[in-house]
Amino acid sequence: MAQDPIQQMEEMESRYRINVPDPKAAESLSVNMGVPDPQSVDQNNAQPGKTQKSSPDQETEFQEHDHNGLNSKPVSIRNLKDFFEVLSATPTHKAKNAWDQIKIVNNAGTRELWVYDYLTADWHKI
Amino acid sequence: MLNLPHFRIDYHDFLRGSNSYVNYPDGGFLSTSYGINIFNTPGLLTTTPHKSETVHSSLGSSEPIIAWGLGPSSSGLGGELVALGVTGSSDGVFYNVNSSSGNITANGSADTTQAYNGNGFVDAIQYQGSWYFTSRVNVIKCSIDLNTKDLTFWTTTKSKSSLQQYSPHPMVVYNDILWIADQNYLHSLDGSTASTQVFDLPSGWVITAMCIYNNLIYMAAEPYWNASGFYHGQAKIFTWNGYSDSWLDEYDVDTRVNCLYVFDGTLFAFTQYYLGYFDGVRVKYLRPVLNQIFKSQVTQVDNSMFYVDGINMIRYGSPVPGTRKVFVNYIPATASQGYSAIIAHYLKQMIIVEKGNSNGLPYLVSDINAAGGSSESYLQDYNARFFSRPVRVRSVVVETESGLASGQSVDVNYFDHTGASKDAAFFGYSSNEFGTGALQGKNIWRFDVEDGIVTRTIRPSVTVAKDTKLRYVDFYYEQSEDDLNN
Repeated sequence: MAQDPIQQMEEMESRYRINVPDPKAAESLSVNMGVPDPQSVDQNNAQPGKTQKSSPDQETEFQEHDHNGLNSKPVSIRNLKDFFEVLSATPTHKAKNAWDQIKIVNNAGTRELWVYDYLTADWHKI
Repeated sequence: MLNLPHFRIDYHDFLRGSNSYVNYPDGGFLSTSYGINIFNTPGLLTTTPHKSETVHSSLGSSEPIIAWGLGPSSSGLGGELVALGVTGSSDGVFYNVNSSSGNITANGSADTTQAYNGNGFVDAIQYQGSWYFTSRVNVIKCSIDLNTKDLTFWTTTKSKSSLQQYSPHPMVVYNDILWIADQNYLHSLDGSTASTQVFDLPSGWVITAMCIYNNLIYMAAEPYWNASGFYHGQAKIFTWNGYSDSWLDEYDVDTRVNCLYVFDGTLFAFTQYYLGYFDGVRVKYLRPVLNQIFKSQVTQVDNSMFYVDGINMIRYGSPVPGTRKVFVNYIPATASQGYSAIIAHYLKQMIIVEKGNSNGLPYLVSDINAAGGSSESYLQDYNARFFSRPVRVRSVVVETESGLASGQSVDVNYFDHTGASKDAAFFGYSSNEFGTGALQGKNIWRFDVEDGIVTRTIRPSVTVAKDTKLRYVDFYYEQSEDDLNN
């Protein structure tokens, strides 16, 4: 008549407790599970002409190539050009990724650094 | 977005029915959710059927219907249905019930000569072509159409002593004899011969419920008057074969039994705090109840047992034949005072009587499995999903059986670990937008979000309106290294 309580609890465990992979775990593990690495740059919003490739070597995480998409070669994250966008007015949009989250504002000649806080959903001048 | 991990709300949740408690996930829905219809289209979720108001005549406001009986009609075709109600002055009112239309019509004037108050004290039964009712102190005999009434049948026509007014008087027909419970005794009416104290329990005991099961009379009793059921301990179930000098067996039950009911070959007992079933030795508890539940508040139709508990109607059945039966919070009462009685015996219809402000409110449900109408809309909460690390909800995908028609809609919410509700605005759409003109004809849609705090708990909440048939809701999430923010 009534379901066995042990069987009931086992069913609950599998359905209501969801294991979330450790984002700091080995990169190969997250690649195998198909889970995006939150530390990687969002591929859809990367700078034009630059693509990302998962690699055990953090220094050569990115690739650059010429206009036709040929001659790809690794490039260090330190050598990325034009990463921080310079705006002429205070940003008001909702930031979607790391690149979008930090802006340089040229306020009448004075350079200001602005960051987007996801928790409060607004921009702050540093 | 759709390459993110997700969890799904679907038939795995629907077919588990309702939880016994809010935080114990023995079902798929929280115990506080109602209107769950998993019987219309097994595998999909829709709303419970619409209640149509029926015609009633002077239905009492105190306890609209406290007993009802079913028996052969005078023509031999179909069944006859009658009911007994009580006014605010404890007067008894006899009703003819039309089972196909649901109309409840008072037959004659109220009986003001004796008291009928107290659900569980009175009863109604058909015996050898006549209707018999019990009041607090007498047995009333009526013709099959209720037009002729002998209001003092037991004390005047049969010259017997009044029944004990503080004891319940349930009745059963067994071996073509009518048995009437009166404190620790059973009286009998064999054709036209009335006999008193034909069977007796120990002095002081009080019979509270009776039924026929496994070809025996089963009696629930306790050793003191305890109408409200506040006292517990020492209640028993006795069995008798109708002719032995004493009872055959006795079984201990901790609390008062308000109703004994046989469904699907099983004897169910509604005690003060639980619904249980008799396993041959003891009553094993199945599910908690919040109120005393009496015989007039239990019925069965379409291979399901229904009972009403306050404002809740619970259905116990299996949407798919042969599978395990589950408890489902079915049609909720409209009136805040809750249900009075439920009656089902014709096709898949059910007559529902609620307690109202001035008059009892009778309704007819034409098909107990039908999906709801334009006025039906139910918000239902599902068991929470717990995550080993903080996550952020990014998207929901909703799919229905077919393209949405006018009036159909689905709303998706969820509650995070702070208890805050992330509703339609969070997902960037207006409430019920899933059912608006722009989405008419579509059966699958996706809503994305870009912000929101991280959480380790997602408790889904979905509103289904009209006869929308929900197939599933997917919640997409991504893990985050942000700290939880309380």
